[in-house]
Amino acid sequence: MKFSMIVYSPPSRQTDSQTPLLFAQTLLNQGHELYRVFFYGDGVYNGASSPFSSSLERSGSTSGTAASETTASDQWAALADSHNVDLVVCITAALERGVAIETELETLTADNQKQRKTEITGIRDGFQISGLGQMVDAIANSDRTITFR
Amino acid sequence: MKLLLLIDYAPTNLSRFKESLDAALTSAAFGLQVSLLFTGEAVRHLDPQLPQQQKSKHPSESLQELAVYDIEEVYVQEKGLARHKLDKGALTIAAKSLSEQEIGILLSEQSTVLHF
Repeated sequence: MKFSMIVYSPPSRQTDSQTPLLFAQTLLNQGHELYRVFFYGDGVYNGASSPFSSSLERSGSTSGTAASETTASDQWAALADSHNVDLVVCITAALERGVAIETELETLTADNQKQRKTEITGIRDGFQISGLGQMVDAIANSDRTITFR
Repeated sequence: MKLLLLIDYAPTNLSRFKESLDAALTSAAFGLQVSLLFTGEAVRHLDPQLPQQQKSKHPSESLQELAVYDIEEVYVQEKGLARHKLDKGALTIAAKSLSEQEIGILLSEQSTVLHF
């Protein structure tokens, strides 16, 4: 069966068993397909590049995450790597929370022309940045879409 | 494809409400058949007496956008209305009141339920 997931909760508000991650790992182990995981609302914190994500997890975690422990975003990135899962962070939600930062850069082209470029930083490698259209695409293309709040 | 947005939280976090609605509006824009269900404390989003929160868009304003995207199926939980003493005929937008059993049927008809 083809699943998609929408993660709305940040790592600090998930239980110690990290339900969305555990769900994703379990469904993959059982041979199902995970089409996309879309991180929306506070869920975008799962895709933050450290040290932002690790400080947020430490502040909210009841178990007290040590620096050596693997963070949720590490685990998502590992899952994306091992199973080729499409992890998408919602750009609007990420910008609103300061998880993603938009910077305008001025560069010079090869023939010395000034060029303006927008750069987005703050999102961890392994996560794509996109919009709600990707969420709708996931819903339309999956047998089941499950929200985790 | 039928999609239901389930809202069950009080109208105290209006940015959360806005994000919930944005998901519904985008889904409708892409052609999904979208409906909304307000249960429990969330029925107060449709309360005409709901006070304006500073710096936040009042829910009634956000709810007007549903019509722009042709989202007409808005449901409220009968029990929730009774508990919060709201009159189903006097809500900020037109909504159909549902019993628990009718809610069960509505949920079973959906391809996807978004529960933020």
